[in-house]
Amino acid sequence: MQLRLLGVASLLILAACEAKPELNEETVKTLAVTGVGEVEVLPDQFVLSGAIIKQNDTSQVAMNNVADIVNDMQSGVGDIAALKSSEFNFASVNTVGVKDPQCLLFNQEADRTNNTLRRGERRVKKRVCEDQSQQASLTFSFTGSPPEQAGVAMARFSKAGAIRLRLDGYRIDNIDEIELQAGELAVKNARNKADRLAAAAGANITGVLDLDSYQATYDQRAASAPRVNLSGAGETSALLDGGEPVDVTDMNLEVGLQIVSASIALEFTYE
Amino acid sequence: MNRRGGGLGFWPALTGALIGAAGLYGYMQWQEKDRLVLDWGHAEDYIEFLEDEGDIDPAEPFKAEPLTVKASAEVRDVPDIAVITASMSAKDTLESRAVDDVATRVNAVQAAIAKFDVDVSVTDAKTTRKYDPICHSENQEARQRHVQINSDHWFNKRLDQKGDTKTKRRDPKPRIAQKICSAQSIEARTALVIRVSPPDAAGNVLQALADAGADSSQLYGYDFSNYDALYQEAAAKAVSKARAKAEMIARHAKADLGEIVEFYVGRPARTGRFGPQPTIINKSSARSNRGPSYSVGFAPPPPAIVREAPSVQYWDGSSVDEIIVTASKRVVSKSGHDGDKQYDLDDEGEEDVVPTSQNNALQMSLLSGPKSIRVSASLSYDYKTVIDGSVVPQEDNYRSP
Repeated sequence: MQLRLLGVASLLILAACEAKPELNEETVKTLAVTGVGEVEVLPDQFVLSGAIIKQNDTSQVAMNNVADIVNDMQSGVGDIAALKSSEFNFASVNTVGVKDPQCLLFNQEADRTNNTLRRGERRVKKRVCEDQSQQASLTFSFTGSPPEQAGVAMARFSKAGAIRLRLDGYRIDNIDEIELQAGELAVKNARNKADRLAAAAGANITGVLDLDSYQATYDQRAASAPRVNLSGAGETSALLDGGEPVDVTDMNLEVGLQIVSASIALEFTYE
Repeated sequence: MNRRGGGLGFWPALTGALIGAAGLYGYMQWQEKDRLVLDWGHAEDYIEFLEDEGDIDPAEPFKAEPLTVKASAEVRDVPDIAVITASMSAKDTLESRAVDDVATRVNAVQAAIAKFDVDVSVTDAKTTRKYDPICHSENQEARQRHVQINSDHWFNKRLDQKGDTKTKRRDPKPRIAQKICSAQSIEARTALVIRVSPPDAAGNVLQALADAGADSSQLYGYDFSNYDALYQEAAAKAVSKARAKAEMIARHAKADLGEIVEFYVGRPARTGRFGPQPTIINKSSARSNRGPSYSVGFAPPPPAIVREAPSVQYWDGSSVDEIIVTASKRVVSKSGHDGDKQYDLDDEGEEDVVPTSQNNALQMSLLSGPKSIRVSASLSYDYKTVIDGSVVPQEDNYRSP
């Protein structure tokens, strides 16, 4: 009886095995490999950002002071003989009344006390905080080339009176194309790895699955101008008027070859 | 009397016989039910019937579990690049003086290392305001105290509203006044990444950096210019070793290896350039900065331009942190499949957020000898046995005839 049953079952299984199993997520066999691609490239431009903040009794004078610095900055970079291109972008220009920070703080504390008044405590009368001065501010980003002139431009801006200076980074004109090249190399690299590893294991790559895990692996971000506080006491006045800017040494900021890299994790089917 | 007392009576005997017969019939019925009588034409129907009843799992033909073999291999080579980071900073109450101080030293540092075969890039150059940290921490304490006072206030108020006289009220805590934390100085800072080749010159470069006025310098690690080729070599070796292991096991067990059913190879730890590198301004920025934008008055600046701003310091000393938008800051596995461990980034303890390459796989000591790249592989093979395809009865799910 056992033999008969085994025979029946074997026949059933053999019949089932004759039909090719349908490929699905559970039956497909995959090998995952990570392909990498790198393209060496020299950047085309540098991007600097900074701010100019001035406070005065009147907003007109404060704005004039800002304008003076802008003019000095423009003439400063205009004197850089090696600078082939330059472009200012003003991100924000504002004037705002500046109140006494001690008065604002007193009112803030008064609110806190009044909202949680306890036995024995008296309500605190808030003060009227008048404008102490007027603040004018301007934030900007500056794009120039060649990229090794970034340090010189930064020094000229500082000399003119700009503050919160920052080298945001470098720009590559045809970054889309370069990144695509890195991506192509990554895909080819992944396929080569898959073929090589499959061959080492005694298998053959038959196709590819899951093409959507591509990512660029180089450091990138958006350029940004500084943000200036436009409420309450404005920017703290300390250090804004620390004296006339001094002559600043031109800075040599070298730019080496940059790597634009990409990686892709691909799943290959094999047999 | 005799009939009663002498032996078994008729009726009790009959009753006993009937009960016995019923029991025997029941037992036979049970036995009959438990017997499986199949012929060739009914086996399939019967299995289907049992499956429908949920009585048993279908009897599967025998198939051996795949043979899984693991192996790892390493390739040793001497790195051809040393990665060094250096930074210079200066503080002053006047921003231009701080920038000038740093500029002088940056120039001196680069001049000092120009005699070596180095590739220098700037990863950071900026000025930031520095505030009194004690004032900041006192303000933080004051804010926390206010939160506690607020919480106590509402706790006590709820009890009063409920008329709860049993629960003890929270005692009032003394208030702490906040202070105005003004900027104390401006710090100008520049950071460099220096790739030195051959790496044996790293020591001399570090010395030159220190002599020329670098505030800090660090041997970040070593790199291979042919990292991927070395990785591929190690991976292929690991796979070959795993395959050889499987073939050896099959040979000794007198089994025939079938096809690979699972195939895993450790992934490369390095998917981007090793070490910090300058930031590339990406495409979204190109759009936001295209063309001059000039807004006058009190309107807030266009968000497309100022959304990723450095920190804003408010009048009471509180601040909003800088937000980096699209830096590809990621944590990568240090050793591929090695326990799937994730390692934190080494940010060198810097407070500034500078997007750097996250691959610290090759961060090592000052000793620049050969380094290893290790890759693991795991293969699972099918194999054949003499009873493949047979239905093997099992106690739990199948009752043998």
